[in-house]
Amino acid sequence: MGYAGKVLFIDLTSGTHRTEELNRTWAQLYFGGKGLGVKYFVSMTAPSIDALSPENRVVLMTGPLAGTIAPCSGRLSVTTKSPASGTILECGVGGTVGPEIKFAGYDGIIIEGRANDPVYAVVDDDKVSVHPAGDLWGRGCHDTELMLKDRLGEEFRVISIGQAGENLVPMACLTSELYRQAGRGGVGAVFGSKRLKALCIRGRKPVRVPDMTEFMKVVGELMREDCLTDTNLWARTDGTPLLVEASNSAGILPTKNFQDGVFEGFKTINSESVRSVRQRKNACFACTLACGNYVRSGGAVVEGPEYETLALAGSNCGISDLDAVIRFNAACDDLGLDTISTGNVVAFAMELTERGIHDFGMRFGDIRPYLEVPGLIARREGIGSDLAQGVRYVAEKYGGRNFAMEVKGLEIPGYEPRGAWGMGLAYATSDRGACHMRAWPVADEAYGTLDPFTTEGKAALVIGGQHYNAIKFSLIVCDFWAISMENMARLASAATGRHVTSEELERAGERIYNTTRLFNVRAGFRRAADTLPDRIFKETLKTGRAAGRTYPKEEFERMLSEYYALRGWDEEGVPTPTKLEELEIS
Amino acid sequence: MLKFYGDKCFGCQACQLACSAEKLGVFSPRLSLLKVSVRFSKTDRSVLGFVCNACGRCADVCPVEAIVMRCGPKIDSDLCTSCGLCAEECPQGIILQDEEGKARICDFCGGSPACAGWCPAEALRWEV
Amino acid sequence: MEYYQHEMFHRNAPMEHGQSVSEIPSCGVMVVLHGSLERYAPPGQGRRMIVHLPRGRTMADLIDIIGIPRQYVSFGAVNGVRREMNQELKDGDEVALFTPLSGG
Repeated sequence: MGYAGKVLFIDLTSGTHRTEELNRTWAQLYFGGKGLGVKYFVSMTAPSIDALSPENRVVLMTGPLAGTIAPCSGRLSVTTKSPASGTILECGVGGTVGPEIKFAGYDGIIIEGRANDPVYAVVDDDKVSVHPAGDLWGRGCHDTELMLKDRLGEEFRVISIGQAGENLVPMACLTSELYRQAGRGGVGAVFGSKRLKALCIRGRKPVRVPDMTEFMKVVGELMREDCLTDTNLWARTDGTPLLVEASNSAGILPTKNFQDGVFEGFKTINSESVRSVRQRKNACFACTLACGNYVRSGGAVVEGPEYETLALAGSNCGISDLDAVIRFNAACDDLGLDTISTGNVVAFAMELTERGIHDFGMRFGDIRPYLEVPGLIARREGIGSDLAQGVRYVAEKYGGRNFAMEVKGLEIPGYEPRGAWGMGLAYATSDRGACHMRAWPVADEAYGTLDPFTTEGKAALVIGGQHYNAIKFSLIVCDFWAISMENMARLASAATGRHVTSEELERAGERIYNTTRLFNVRAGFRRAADTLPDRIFKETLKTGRAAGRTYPKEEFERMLSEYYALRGWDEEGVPTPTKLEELEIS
Repeated sequence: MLKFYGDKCFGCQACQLACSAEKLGVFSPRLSLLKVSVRFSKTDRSVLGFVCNACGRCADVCPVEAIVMRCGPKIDSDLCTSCGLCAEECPQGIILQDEEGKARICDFCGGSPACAGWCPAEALRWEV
Repeated sequence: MEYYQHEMFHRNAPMEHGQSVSEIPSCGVMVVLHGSLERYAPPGQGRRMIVHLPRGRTMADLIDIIGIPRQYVSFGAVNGVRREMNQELKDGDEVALFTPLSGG
């Protein structure tokens, strides 16, 4: 119960498909979403493969809550190997595509192989088919989605790639419902390498829970007591743009390629400004928080811009013009580009230009070239052919290695680690390179009551956050509901019909985190890769709360050793056999 | 009366899930007796809502008088002949037929509609 | 922008004997209630309001005066910079209060 009981495999090489019974043992150990997706992925895929080869897979996985009325359960987990970082890559996407897969009768869809020519796949309940996508290839995500809905019917949910994915850009994302992305690490390029333009889903089967009366009672209580409270309702009133002012006040708003943590132009890109152009609020399926802001500004409309876009493509590029950020955002969504990595590479090019290292023809705050870059990157034209390869590649080619803001090849999101030392560890030990969604210690450090400028206690804090998020993204509850572990256990019990404890969830979180780590270790990652760019350790911020403070590398390394020890990993960051056995990982 | 305010709705579909849970004990937007549809184009996003407004058309067209209007439509399934006329005629398009073809019609849950109760946006309201 | 003199002021700043209202040493601060904290503003107020306080009051005092339960304020900033709760407020300060935040 809580599960559809089937997993669909689509082989693009042969154009065939098959279904398998859901592996119930794995579902018990990994629950769903991230955990189960990762388990399926690592069980079938060698860590050494080239991410853009036909041997790579994309695992789309729902969780036991998908399709139910449980709030914030509408997301879908996507797992593959990242062409940007070479690590395992798990991303989430909102909207309705996840629940639709469940309504079609599947817990997950696994895409394998490579088509000879561009195709799109259609999953209409039990009917699965693969069709030529010649007329869609070369088009943006928006055209693609709207054309497919015209062709197949309004009811179909679409997840597609734009030109960036087709051209194998390692910062290409998947887009669904025009403005929702599985953003990071280049999953769009993996679709592109498989010549899969889009996946369309319609599901007309009901989703069942073991005891509907009990389920509705639990969800109703949690909604009142834990969800629709002042702890979470910022999502409804503002959404993520609220973080612009919060981060700026705390001195951790990435500014001009992480040269500062305070942006003098923050007032024109903060939440009040976004609210002033907001048309309406939008929610994912079954979400009561509705963080989405549908805005209209100048000629552009977008659902967004989210904090990460405002930070990385706003302050980090020295751009304080909200209209420009919105247009950049809309362009990236259509081309199928991750705004975090795209914003980062633009900021890096701006700094290289300003420092005279290489002339990319743009400086901080230059709007005109900034708005041209997404198109150039997606088509790999002009400067776009270099910038498309990401910050690490550009640094290796032109210089600026010490201020190339990436970890394992994935560009850093919107929280400056010098103003939240634990966040540095979270970036360094994230399972997919610099990511803010594995642990979020900034909540306690920058915005909370913990001292941000110490490494004391941060290893345990980060580990706790990594386990919490790992299991949360496996049951699939959205990040934005700060639900307690106990209440997650109540939800999991109500959905699966077996008694699930918070201890069991905690342990599953640890199991999932070790499973992704093991894949990365087997792909060759060790301690040396668990680090941060030199800028973080060698330069200080000029303004704000963290101004003038150094983040000593020795302290970071000591914290990293403590982190490994607490995890039961050796000094190189390799999980020990005892730990793996304890967690039932093979 | 059940009232839908499209400007407030953010499209979560909790109303439809609450309906199918209440009436059938499953979650299925497509089996719910109201419809909320998020339409988007490149320049706009809107939410269309279709709920029973007790217009009485179903009762009017029912050839065997299985449907009576009492606050909302009430159907006597024993009388229903599965002809499907009411579903065809419903201006909101929200009357469904079960596996036997018998009509399923919104009855406002007897005056305390689950859909409005679960709406987190105050977009769907039961106004007496 | 609308201005509002918070009624709680009178309850929290007892007048000294023989002192007229105009003689109470006070300071006016602009408060911005971010996120759902806006519901602690008087109805129809939006999220900005001016609160008058006796001199020497801190950010923590201000939060109590407005009546927000402390667990719902993660931190506050004075004039755009995050400050501790015992920060003393001055006339003309802009105080931004934030709810707990999650995700990103």
